[in-house]
Amino acid sequence: MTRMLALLSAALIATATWAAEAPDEMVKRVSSQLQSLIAQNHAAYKADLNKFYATVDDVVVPHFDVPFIARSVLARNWRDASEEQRTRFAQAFKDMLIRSYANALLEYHDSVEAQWKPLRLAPETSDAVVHSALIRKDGKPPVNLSFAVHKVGDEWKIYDIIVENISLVQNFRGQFHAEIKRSGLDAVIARMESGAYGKPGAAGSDGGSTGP
Amino acid sequence: MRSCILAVVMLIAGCAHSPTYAPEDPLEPVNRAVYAFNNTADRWVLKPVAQAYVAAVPAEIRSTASRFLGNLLYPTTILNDLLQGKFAQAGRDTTRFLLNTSFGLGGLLDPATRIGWTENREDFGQTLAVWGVGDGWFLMLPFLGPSTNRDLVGRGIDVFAHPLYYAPPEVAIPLEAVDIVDTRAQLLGTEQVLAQQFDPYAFLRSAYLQRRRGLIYDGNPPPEEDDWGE
Repeated sequence: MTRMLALLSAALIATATWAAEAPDEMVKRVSSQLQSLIAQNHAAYKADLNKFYATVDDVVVPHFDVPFIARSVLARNWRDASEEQRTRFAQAFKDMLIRSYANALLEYHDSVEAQWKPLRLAPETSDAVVHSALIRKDGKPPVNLSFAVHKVGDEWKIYDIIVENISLVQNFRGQFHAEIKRSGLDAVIARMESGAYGKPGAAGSDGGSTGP
Repeated sequence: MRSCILAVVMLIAGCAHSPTYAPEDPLEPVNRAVYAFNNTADRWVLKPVAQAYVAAVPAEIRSTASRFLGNLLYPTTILNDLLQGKFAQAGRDTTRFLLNTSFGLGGLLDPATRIGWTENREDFGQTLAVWGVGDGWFLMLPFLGPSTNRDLVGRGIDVFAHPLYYAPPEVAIPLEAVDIVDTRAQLLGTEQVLAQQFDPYAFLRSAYLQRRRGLIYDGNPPPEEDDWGE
């Protein structure tokens, strides 16, 4: 009962705070927040990556619909997964994403600038895409980057990132499906949890995976 | 009657056969072998050459070379604009080409982009798609990388629109070589992303097909049916 109450009040607070925020405002706010945090603490984050992971977890992750993403990435494997596997998968997948993009964020935060496109939002809709173009300061053609968002309760949450029409969710779905068929969901989760998801020595990993 | 029985048998067989997850890739085992081969070739030849190129040639000269080669190839885009009925875009691309070839000193500079006339990318694979040709199978070509039946045909046709095809070999071959090395050099660093994937081959396949889809629809593909298989 207390838990119910806590949940309810949390939901109420969330509603009161964010009800007015449009999806593109949310994405813009979060990304500029992250960008300024990186600019301020660049050296500290580089020295202690775990600190940066924690920051991303605090600032960015709450705006992602993690359970929904986990479910759509697992696709038909979701049905066969136990409740415990689902939770573990969502957690491990989220951590994997943070870890694999953290380096790129720290590396390139200064060399691109997001140009946001106006959002056309149909009234009463609960699904939208926020478009932007990443302008590269070296003059190379801009990179199209979009965020698919939907409403969870009263709050807009990101459920896919699309780079040059390549959807993160679709891309991982194909990979996980092949891998789960080969070695099973538990093995896949274990591999993600261990942090060793790139296959050293396997075809395509000649870039040399630099473990965390 | 006989064909009826055959149809029933095929129907049953169709049901019994578990659906493959990647129907777009019936040649997967072969493609994976080619992919492994390409990686080895890349590791021992192309990547070291590209790294040497980046190390030896200053960035400014490298981007000048990229711009020059990109401009040289631009008539392909214009031709495919026309073949796809994008006449306004063809006009803009022609102006862009003329501008960069003249004021841009043969494409060494890119004044068109500075005034907001950004580069478009059209090729005969996209033209075929606009004409209604489907992807066909996903293919992993030796040395050339990911493609599809349709894009392979498109590549073959585009060769004829490439100015270097009509140039004498002593001009064409060095320029072609620089183009290959330059393209590879721009991809240095992306192996990191590939290496961190669960299944780099599946990643590349999905990325290639989605990226092509984006190009075919000029960045606004109709939403795909998102089949979760639930």
